[in-house]
Amino acid sequence: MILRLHTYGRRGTACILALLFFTGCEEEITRVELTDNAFSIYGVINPLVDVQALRVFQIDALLELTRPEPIDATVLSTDLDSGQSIAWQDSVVQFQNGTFGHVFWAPFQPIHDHRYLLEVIRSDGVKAEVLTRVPPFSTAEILEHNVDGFFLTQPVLWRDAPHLININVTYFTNVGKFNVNYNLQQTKVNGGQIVTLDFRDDVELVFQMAIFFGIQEVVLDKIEMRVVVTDESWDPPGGTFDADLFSEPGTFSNVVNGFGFVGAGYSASVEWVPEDEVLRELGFFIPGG
Amino acid sequence: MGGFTNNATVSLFDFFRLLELSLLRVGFLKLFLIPFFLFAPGADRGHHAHAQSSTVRGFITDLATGQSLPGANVQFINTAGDVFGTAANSDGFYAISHLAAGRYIFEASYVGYKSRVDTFFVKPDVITTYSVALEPRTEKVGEILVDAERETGTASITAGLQTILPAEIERIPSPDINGDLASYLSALPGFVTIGDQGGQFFIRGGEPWQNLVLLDGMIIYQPFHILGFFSAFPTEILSSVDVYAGGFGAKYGGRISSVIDVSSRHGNRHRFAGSASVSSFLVSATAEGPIDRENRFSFLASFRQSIIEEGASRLIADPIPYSFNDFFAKVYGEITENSRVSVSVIQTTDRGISSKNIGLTPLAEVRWRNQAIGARYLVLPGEAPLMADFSFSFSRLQSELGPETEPIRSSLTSRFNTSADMTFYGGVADIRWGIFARTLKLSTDLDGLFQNLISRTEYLTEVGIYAEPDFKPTPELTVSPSLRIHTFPSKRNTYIEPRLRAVWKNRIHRFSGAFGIYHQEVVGVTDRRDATSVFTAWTAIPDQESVPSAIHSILGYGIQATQELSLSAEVYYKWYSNLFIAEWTGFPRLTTKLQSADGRARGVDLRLELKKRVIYGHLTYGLSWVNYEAKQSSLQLWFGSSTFSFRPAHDRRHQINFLIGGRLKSLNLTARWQFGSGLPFSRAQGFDGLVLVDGLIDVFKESGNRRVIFERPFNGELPTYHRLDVSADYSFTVSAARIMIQASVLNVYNRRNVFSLDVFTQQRTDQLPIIPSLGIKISSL
Repeated sequence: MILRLHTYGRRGTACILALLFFTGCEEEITRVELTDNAFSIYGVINPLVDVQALRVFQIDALLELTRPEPIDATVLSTDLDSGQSIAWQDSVVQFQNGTFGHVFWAPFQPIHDHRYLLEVIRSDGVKAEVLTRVPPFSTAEILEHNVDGFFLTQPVLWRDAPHLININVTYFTNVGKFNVNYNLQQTKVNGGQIVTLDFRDDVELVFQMAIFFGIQEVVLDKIEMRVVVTDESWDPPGGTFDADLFSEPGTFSNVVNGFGFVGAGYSASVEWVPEDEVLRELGFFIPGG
Repeated sequence: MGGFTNNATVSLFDFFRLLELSLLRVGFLKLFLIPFFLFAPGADRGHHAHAQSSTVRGFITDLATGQSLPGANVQFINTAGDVFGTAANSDGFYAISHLAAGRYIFEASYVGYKSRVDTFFVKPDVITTYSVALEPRTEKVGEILVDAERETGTASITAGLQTILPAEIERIPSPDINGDLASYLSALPGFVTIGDQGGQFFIRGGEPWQNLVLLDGMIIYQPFHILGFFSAFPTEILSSVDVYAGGFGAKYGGRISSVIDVSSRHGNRHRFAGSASVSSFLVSATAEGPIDRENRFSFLASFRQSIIEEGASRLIADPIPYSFNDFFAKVYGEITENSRVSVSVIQTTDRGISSKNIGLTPLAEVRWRNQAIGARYLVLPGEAPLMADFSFSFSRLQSELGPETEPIRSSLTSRFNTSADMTFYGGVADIRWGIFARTLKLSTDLDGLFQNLISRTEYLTEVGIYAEPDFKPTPELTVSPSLRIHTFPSKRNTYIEPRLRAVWKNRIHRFSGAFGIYHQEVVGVTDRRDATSVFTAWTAIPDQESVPSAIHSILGYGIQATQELSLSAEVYYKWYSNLFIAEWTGFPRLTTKLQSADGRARGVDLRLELKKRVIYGHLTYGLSWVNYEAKQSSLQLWFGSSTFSFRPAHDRRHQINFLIGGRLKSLNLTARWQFGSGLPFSRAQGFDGLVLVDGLIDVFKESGNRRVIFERPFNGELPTYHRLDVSADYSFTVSAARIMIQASVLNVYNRRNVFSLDVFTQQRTDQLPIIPSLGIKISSL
């Protein structure tokens, strides 16, 4: 028994020493286990402009500022509905902060409701790609306002819009211009997206400022709503565009075999003057009314 | 050994009677004695039996120097052979109560000193002060100290507490000829140091800012120099160091991980003495001596200045861009037979180049300065078996990161502390209690480093009380339940912290356990993503946040297998709540926000110690698991769960320390090998950039930001750490001086141990390569 224990002890010691030897000799660090993804891509496909552009980052093993030398990337776009394919051109841009970036561009105007496949391909065939659909042309329709007790709301339908971002409303008055940011507040309906304005809440500041400036008769000249009509994927997780939140790769991404986000969208706006009944309800003065 | 003999039925009356007298006659103590009534168990004033009512107390000192001898053994043996014994505390004070009147044999002993044996007659109902000065042995021992009665090293470990003496520190190879506490601590299991640069200790899973470090009762905020071999406390000034790796009693508070309580020695009260040394890393000098003709007052002063750039740096190819110095002075005096006073002052200054990049800018300089001054007044009231310890101290830490003229970040912390600590020696129970009041000023300017903490100045007041009785129901068992209540009136926070320590020991075996609840209102904020950050800013927890807290539990066992061989084992578990850690971001910059986290630290510490005439050795092994659970709000989106469990950057799973030393005549040889398994780090999967597509952006104008692609935080592991250090010293006497020459080699086989890895730039910084060092020390005999 003692002999056996002694043998076990020697074996155990040998194992520990071997373990220490093999684990202990390693001095080098595997600092980066490079991802299989080759590129990160950012940009917007905009049917209202005739030059499209994408920012392309190579995924590197070292953190260095981007150099002005060409990168090993080819960018192709294909209109999947028409079959037309375009090779994009590389350009090196020096930004205001002095850093460089690779921006690929192509002179074409995307077509509404067409699907575009954007591919960034390395010479060894590894590629990252994005499929995006350009949103249909959308027009705004001012729907019937709603009165519910104290509340007075105004729905605006953006017909055929898959999604909206950057929703802004401006009230033009004789007191001044008052901007209200509705960000991403919208409701999806069969015919598009509805943005519901809360008139009471929005104009409260207008009347406060009128009192401050001693203006008795407050006149609302018009209301303007500006939006960016986008494809459905352009919907940030968490309901806000937060760079810190998106710093985790893949958090807000539609790139396959890569990182980044490429959206499709365009800006649109509508102006209108509410009915006299609404203006009176809100407390605005109606000249000659 | 006969052990203790106690009569529990007579103690309380005597105590209260004496307490009444002390309340009446020692006027200034009245206020401080009142808290005892709140905690005194079952006072029975109607009981009049007082067969054992006398107390003998005093100080045990060195006859040659007047130095206190903490841990000295004191015994009273009556004619029946019953032994009443105790050990002197860190001030060399002892007290034995409830001695029956009669004749005793008194014996005081301490390793390295001749025992003092007297016949002592105890008079009834009196408190006698009997101080003894022991004479050092003049014969040459020529061996490493072996004394089963002396509880140091492995033999002293009870539930996370270890008492360290300077002689033990000197055994550990160090670049300094005198050894250093930092080198000793790094040899303890459960003590993780990031390396030989930075001066940070992680104790049983706790972070450096969670450690309470005291010198003579003064808090020292940054207790280790920037070069990790050196603490702020030269070995030459040390008397003893109590290190609680956890489970500390109610006397200590305000930290949630550990306590390092350093007691300095006194200067020589009988003659002037001094020493000076020079090595590749520093020069130092110490002086001490009597102040008055009656030899009642003494001074001790020490100064150390690093000469790394002129010395060690030239021995290796790499620059070592660090410099530091420290100054300590103490005046100690015996005012009367029953009272002592001391004033201590310390200043440390450190300066170095941070190994960390601040974003992509050049390396930054980090600087800090500790300053502290404190006074203690220790008095033994005439009619009570009581020791009262009043202390006042002021501590200050100033830290800066960045250019001296325009620092990027700065932090200024100061604390004024007053406290009164009482110990009642009751025979059945020694009862410690005390009150304290503190004011803190915390100023930080972090240049946006931490959310909500950019630039602020705060004032905090803390008051509290504690009671910590040591019950001894049997000679083998000591149970110390304790309670600490402290409050921050301005923040309306009050914390009630029950704690418990218990030790059972006989001649061979020792079982111990500890439990406690801890809170920390003032925290050190640092960027801890790679565990190597040196700059720490101290700040109070914002009002709306929960303060960090911890629960400790420890179980320990020790055995003195033979007179030469001892073994100890401890298991521990610490639960941490409401910790603050940096939020994660893929952006390559250190500007971070804070997130809340909980933590768990558990492990086993094993120690084997050999002391055999001329050979000394120890082998320690620490196995630990440290786990944090982060609660960053974005985790749900990133990883699909609201919390994320990970190994923090200081989770060293395995740790081995092997030390062997021996003496051959005047030649002392020591070798030490350290091994630590790899620390976690966040391994990148590459680097790209992020452009925020939050609208119809123009990519020709939006530069975006570079980004690190992480799979998961702390998913990688650095290589193992190991190193062999050897040293040899030779001592001889010339005229009235003792000369010691030391040669040492650190990192003998030139292991490339990683100190830090910048996860952004992938820049690797290694610890020191092989460094030979030569030192000489001259000290007066």
